Amino acid sequence: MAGYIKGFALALMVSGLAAGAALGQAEGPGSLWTLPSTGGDDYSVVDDIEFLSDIEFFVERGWTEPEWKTYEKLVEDVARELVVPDYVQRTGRDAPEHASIDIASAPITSAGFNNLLVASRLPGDCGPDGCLFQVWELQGETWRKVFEFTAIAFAYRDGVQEGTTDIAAVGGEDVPSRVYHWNGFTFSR
Amino acid sequence: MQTIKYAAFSAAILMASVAFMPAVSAQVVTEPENMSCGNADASAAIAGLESAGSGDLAALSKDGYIGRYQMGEEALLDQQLVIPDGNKFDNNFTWSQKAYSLYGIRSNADFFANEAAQEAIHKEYQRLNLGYLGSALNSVGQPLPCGGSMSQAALLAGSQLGHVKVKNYVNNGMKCVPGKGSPTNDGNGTCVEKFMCAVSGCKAIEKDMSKKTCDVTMPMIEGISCSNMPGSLRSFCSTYRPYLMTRAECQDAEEMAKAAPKGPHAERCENLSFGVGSGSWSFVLACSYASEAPADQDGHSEPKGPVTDPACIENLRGMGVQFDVLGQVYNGTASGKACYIENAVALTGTAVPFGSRLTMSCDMAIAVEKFGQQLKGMGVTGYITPSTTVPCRPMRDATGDKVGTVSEHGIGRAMDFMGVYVGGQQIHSRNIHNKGTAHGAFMSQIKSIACSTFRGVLSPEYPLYKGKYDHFHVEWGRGSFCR
Repeated sequence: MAGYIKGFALALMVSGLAAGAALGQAEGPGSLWTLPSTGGDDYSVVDDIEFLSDIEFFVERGWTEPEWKTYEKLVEDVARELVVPDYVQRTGRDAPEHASIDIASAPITSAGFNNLLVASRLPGDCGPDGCLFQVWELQGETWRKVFEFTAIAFAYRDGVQEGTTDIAAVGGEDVPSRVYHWNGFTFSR
Repeated sequence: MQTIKYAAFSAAILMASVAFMPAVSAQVVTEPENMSCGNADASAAIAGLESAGSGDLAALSKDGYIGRYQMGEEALLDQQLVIPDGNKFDNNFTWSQKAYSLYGIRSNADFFANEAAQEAIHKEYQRLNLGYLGSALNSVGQPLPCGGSMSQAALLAGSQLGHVKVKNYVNNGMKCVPGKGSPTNDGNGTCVEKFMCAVSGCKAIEKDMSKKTCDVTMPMIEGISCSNMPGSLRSFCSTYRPYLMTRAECQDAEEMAKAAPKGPHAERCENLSFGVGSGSWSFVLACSYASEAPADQDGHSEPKGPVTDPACIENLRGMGVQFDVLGQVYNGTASGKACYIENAVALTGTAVPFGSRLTMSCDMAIAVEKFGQQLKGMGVTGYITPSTTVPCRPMRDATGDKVGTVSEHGIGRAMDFMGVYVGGQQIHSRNIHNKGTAHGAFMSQIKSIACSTFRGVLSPEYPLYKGKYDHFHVEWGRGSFCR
């Protein structure tokens, strides 16, 4: 206890001053920083226009939206082991430094087992028509990509016949939505 | 974060020394004579009454009063934060250069997103009111009809409706004049007394400004006996008294702390230290800057709402970002739908600074930080006019509001910016149209990075922006697009 006391007052003062700097309008990274004027432009975020996807249309009609995960360790593993090697192969480009993807699981090609779903934002995978979605299936001990398409969002539901599934490549605004059907053997539009 | 820990630490030590406090009676300041009421000051009372007590930073009344303290145009004009438009009561705000240079505020959205600015502006509003109250201050100590007595804090709380109405109330024998817009009431018929009574229940505790913590702590330190040390250290201890502060060092530290400029919570901290504590300016200095958020044992502030994705918070923490965890934050309703910012965080220190404290969802914050880290590698030092969360509203497209939808800006999952700074140079996002130029290539590169970082990106090339907007909109929503 006594050992703390000498440093206590000084430590308090130092910490107090440091906090003051952090809370004040100090310049520099990591602090509140008042930017210089940008010149006249009347834009206000309150009036901002946003892109409206059709995902809610599908969800309201009983389709399921996958629960995408981004910041889990498993996502990094999937990117490193599957998505990036596939990217290098299909594009001929180098592996990107930052691989931003989402993953989810859902039973698409087999009622008993989940497929791995990937939403890829790797360089070039996103454009005006959306981003790249992939469906991976575990075959033996190897994950294989069985389907991919570009869309604004992804939704799925059980097909009318047992063992079949519908996938919605969800659009929005000027991007039309499409539905793909898994008949137990292959995907068709 | 460290500050919180130190403040809590010092408070614990100082409170423990209360029992040793010498009886000194000089320079006693009674509670009604300062702006705080215990630890609930006038500001807290006002926040508890305005906007249904929500404390909502983005509150917007039907009459146009804004923010946690429902500031109006007249009050903001008094601080030259808005530009006169001929009608100081219509609450149409044109923010001034002073608002921008002091607080980074150029729009209502900036104001809504900046808690520190709202607190500072309201503090200044109270300071000005204190000067305007004049003879009304003589009413301090008089009984209020609701019980308790008038205090400076109560007068300031009443000044929320205008200092003139407070003076009228005092001159009317501490009575309200019935009616909407009467000399003591606002346009809704609310009397200044309601605000006064919100702080009238404070105890008349005394704080003794003559207390000196060194008088309390030094006898304890000097009383430490080296005889308790192991033999090998006993001689060393007796000779050098290591780690023990001398009386002169204690007094020097206190003098320095007393003279140093204090933070926004100075008065409340003085109440703590010179009221029930042993009178430490070192404590007051640290406490005055400390966050109001309670801290856990690691010094992390505790969120006000539930956190459903702690892994995201930890991930963000691991990126070296400075932020406060807010948890789930209610952000109003639109079209009958509620806006909740899930796992909300308020960012203060990021790879590319914002210039203000911006609130957003944790997963959006991670994307923003990853984006910022990549931009920083390109030499970017700031965003031009970054905006994130605004009060709940429907999404809009070219035809207007989309009924039944909620904007990603209302749930903390979107950010807009109009370009970047590279060193002192502005590179506006509209340069993306200038293909073949250096700035055009730079903006195209930023778009490419944004599209490989955020789920949704709308650049100035987005057809609905052309001819209307020149900013980047990036989001972490339900759609994936790069336009």
